[in-house]
Amino acid sequence: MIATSSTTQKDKPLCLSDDTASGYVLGFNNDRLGSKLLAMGVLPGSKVEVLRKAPFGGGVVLKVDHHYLALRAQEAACILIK
Amino acid sequence: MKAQDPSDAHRLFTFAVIGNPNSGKTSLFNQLTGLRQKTGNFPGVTVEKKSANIQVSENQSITLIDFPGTYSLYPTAEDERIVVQMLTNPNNIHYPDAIIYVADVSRLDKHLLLFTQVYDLGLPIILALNMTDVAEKEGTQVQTDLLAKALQVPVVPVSGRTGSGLAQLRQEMLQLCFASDSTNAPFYALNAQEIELQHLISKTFPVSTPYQAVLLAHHHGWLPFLNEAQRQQIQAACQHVAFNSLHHQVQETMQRFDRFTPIVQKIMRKGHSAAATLTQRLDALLLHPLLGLVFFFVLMLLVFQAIFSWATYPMDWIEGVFAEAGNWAKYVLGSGWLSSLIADGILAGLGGVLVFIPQIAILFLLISILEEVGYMARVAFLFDRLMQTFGMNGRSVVALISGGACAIPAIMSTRTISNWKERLITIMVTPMISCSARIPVFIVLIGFVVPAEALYGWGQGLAMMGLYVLGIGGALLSALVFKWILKNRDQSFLMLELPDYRPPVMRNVLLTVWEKVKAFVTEAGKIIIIISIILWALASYGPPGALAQAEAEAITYASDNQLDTQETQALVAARQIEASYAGILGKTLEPAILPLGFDWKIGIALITSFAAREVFVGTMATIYSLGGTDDESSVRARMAQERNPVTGAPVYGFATALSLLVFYVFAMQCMSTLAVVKRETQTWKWPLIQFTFMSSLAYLSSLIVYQIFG
Repeated sequence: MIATSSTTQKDKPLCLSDDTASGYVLGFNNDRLGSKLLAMGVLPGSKVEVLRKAPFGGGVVLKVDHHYLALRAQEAACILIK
Repeated sequence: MKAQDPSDAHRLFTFAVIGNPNSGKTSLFNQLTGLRQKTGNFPGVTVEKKSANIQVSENQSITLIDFPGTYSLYPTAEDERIVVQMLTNPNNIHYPDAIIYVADVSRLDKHLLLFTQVYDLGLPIILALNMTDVAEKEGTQVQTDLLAKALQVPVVPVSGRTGSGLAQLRQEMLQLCFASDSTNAPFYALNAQEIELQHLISKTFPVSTPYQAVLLAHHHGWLPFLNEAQRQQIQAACQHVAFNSLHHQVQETMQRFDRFTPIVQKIMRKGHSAAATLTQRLDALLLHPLLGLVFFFVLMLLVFQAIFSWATYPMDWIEGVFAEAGNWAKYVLGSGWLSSLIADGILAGLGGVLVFIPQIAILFLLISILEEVGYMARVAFLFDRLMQTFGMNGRSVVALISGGACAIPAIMSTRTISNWKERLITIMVTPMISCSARIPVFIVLIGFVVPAEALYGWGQGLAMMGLYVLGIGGALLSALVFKWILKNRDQSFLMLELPDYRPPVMRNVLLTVWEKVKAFVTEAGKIIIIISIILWALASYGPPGALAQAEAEAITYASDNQLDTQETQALVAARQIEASYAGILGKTLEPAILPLGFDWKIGIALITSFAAREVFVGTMATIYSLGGTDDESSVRARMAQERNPVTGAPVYGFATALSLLVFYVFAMQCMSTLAVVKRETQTWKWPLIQFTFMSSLAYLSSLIVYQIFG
């Protein structure tokens, strides 16, 4: 697990059922996805927010700092936020 | 492609253009090179390589190579791996002497990660800050001199859009050609474990920088230039220090961000981006779960209509010109094998290649505009989930829809899918979507299945729609089968940046169109012309004396029955094709296709249809002695009269016609598509598999249809 601070009770996976989910990135619970997300600039401390959802139960658009990323649901689910 | 490679003739100073996806790297490359660029593939893979020789001063020319865009030197797809492969192997012919690193100035806080990694490989590097014109308008301020000082490299503000800053960039490139090697301290400080590892690796493999050794440790499992002994030595070194690749990658990435983020904050003041605000408003509509889909289908309808109907004018014109040229050649050369070879073989084949240019040009004009604007990334996002179900990519939707007009440009458009398995499945199933060449065949045959007056006149339209649905269903089901059979080379990701919408740069659009047309004509064109000459020979030659005998018999029959000249000519043509190798092949095929309800005459049409499906109509016209006509209604009228010589029943009854329709939906009867698949997959393996599976599917489906209804 990639995390910069110790995992506490307050850590929760970015919640996709909540349309207005937002918070600050703590780390990732999947190393492989996490390392690619890091390279794309999703860093611990970045502000993330769920902006949109795709049709057919597909992915989400996240606003990460000032940039927009499209992720699959399971890719977004690996982001831990507080 | 190797012989055309500019770096082979005499090795020039080589610059690699490197950057993140969406950094405007290709725009800048196009600005620097224009029409001088040569397109090929990196050796051994289907990743596109563009290179060009350019003059940077009166007597200094250099080679520029556009590398695929990547976010880091930790690749997850084939095109990204190429970058690592080329930069970690100084013995490679594409190993650059220096690097132009392109970063989007508005995303400098993300785009410097790869920069610092490449920097640590020790090559001289120029940082080109792209899109400075847009940033300046938005009020963004960048202190390039401070940035250059902090990073210890030349920094040049440029615009791939307007071409500003290019003179300065060329000047810096010229200076690098004469500069001594960089002695800058690396950006990333290796930790104790990595230092030990690097010592171990550099003993067995000569490396130019410590970071190169670290990358070899991370990627030794797949780097193709390592031999087995080297691989094992590196593996042993990694085990010795208990090296955990992923752990080190994360540590390294974090340290790099920690070091350059303060620099970016110091040298840059961001303005207000109007494009970002507009983008969010547009995305509220274009990415809307319902309205977004409606918009997409309306847009695709326009694209489809454009390839389908606008292209017919230039296509008719090209066909007309080649038909005229053929007649003229026959007139000048008289009748003989040479004039027939030139008119019916070579000119027909050449026409058959060029006739696809309008469709290819129109499709790429439209989809590269959509790509430039930033819409294609949205399409990939909208259809990701749906297409994943079938083992494809969100972008596959565009190829599948374009396949409804013509599979050739559709297959060529799959280059933007970077996951190999998703791209291959898209290529394999796209030809099952009914293309425009099937329409004449459907029109001729559908009347034998559904009478015009059925269902108050709606019957034939519904049957036609049913054929399209059958093709789409066949494509999706085959995709599921391929998804199950094919191995995945890489994990599939969506993880996509959604860039701000921007007006398209027409220079980039037109260069894409030009390059696609050129690739089709020069690469697929050769194969198409060879096959059309073979098909011509099959239809024009027979065993010695057979054609002459057929002609003599036809003339005797004609004079006995007092046929006029035209009727005689048509009869001669019909008897000759029957006696030709194609006719013999059709008759040999008859036992195999009889269970499908096809006789040898249909067999001949199936063979000649391989040139292009619509040739079916023309062949039927020849076989039934209709002379030169390929008017669909007269062909159909003649076919309706055809009786089985034994039973007296109509040959084109319900079952045979339905079986033939189903056959044309599924069968791979297009040599041009096969030639393009060969070009796109770089091997004959996939077009052969495609031909076999589609033909088998067509055979089985027709067999079932005929056995049920026959």
